[in-house]
Amino acid sequence: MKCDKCDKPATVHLTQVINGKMQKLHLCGDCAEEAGVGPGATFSMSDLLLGQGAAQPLARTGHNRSCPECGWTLQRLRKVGRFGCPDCYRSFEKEVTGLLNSIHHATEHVGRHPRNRVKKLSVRHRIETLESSISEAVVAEEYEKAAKFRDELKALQQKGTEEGNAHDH
Amino acid sequence: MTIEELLDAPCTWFIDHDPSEIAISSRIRLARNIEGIPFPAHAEARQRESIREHTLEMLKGSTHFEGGSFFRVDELSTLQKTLLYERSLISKELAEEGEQSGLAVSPDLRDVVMVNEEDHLRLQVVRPGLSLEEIWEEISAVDDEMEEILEIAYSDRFGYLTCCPTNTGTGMRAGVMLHLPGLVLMEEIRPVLRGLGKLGLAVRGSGGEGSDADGFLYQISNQITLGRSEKSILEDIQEVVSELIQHERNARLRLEESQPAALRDRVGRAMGILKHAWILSSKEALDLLAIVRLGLSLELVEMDRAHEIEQLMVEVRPAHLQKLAVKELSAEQRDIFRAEWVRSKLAELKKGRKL
Repeated sequence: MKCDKCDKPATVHLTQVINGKMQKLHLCGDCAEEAGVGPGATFSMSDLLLGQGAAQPLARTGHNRSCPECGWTLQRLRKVGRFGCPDCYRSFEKEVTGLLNSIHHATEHVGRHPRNRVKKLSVRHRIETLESSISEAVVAEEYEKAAKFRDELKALQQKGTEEGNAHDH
Repeated sequence: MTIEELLDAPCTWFIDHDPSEIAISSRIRLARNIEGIPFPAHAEARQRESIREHTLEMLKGSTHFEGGSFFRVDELSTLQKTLLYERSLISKELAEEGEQSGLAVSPDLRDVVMVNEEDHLRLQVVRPGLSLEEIWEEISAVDDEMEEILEIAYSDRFGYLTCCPTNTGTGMRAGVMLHLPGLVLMEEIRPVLRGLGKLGLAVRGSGGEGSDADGFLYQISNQITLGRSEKSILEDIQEVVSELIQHERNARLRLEESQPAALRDRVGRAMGILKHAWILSSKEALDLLAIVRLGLSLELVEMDRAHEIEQLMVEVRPAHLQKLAVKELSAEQRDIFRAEWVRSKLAELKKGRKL
């Protein structure tokens, strides 16, 4: 049997069930090592939890992607189940969401937050939410909705700039 | 306070209890990190160093820690570090490694900040008994102050950003240490522990992972840190622990009712061994002392200063024992010295009859 990534003989065989579908992956020693699932690899909880790490197409998810802030790679995140720096959460946002969901069955924080930043953050949060609502509405071809969100966003951004200017003076 | 003074101070959250108290202590810790700096394991030594110096400096001037004690963990001896660990002031990881790590302890010894553990900062508050609500008030105030003096890494979406995804969100781990000899002796502990797992709570023996808890001490804590507020997590633990305490009380009563002779035999033998043994391992000593504590709570044994049994439960731990011996001891020497120490202590506590 040949390696799924190159033509060398496959020596590592992974089987995984994702969404009820069994997926198999066959890798040669080198590719397995590179993917962090080689014979010498220790499987961490995140390996199993991240799941896709093993069975999803590795090349496409870009397993060598790294955090621009600290250089931590996705591969290391999968292997050790730890982040390199606080910015890794943004750098690997998609993977983080999946990982958190499998650990906590939740992806959004509820509860305490730093007091001094409450206002600033909630405006930013609202802006981000509106931005994604707009794209969703556009994709769903609900243009009226999208326009409404856009107006709201404009107003919010306007307000933010004014406040920012006020602070500068 | 010097490290020696700190280690000489009584371990207030563990001793001075009524022996019938089932909840020994409660603890909450919050994991916090500083924005824009790699987590300790990935940071360079100089970054860790600067975080430690900066944080300790800031804490020295804060209302909660002013007049407290501040240490560079890597400047402490192995024995001192182990002592701090045995008193739950630092984690095992910090006791074993501790490179460029720091420790701040408030003057009343209740609030602790570990610097450069797995996260840049770990705030911890421990109090005796079941007191999560009070601890939450206290630790929130400490956290508020930390947030004023440091840029804490936080995202609107994911909450507090921590090194390990199992802490993301609230960054909070809250736990209660319970003394459950009744449930263990009635052989009812396993289903109880399994049930707790299903409720999303973690249980571990005080001696570490594994099902057999030294001294019948179990720590119950939350596992989920994301998607639920601290208050609701704490309420859950509080509720489950209160139920568990009730179970333990019941188990003790049923134990006395259904097996009066076996129970007295067990307590009597524990006293006998502790009073006469010449070699005692840490686990054996803890288990036997825990049985004596059970005997005290059911008034099968009487002692002049019953609460000192709890102090003994701290003193028999390896590092504390070496501190008492004022020298380093090999494992074998420790077992002999431990037996000697327990014998002399129990002789001081006298009485002991009444089975």
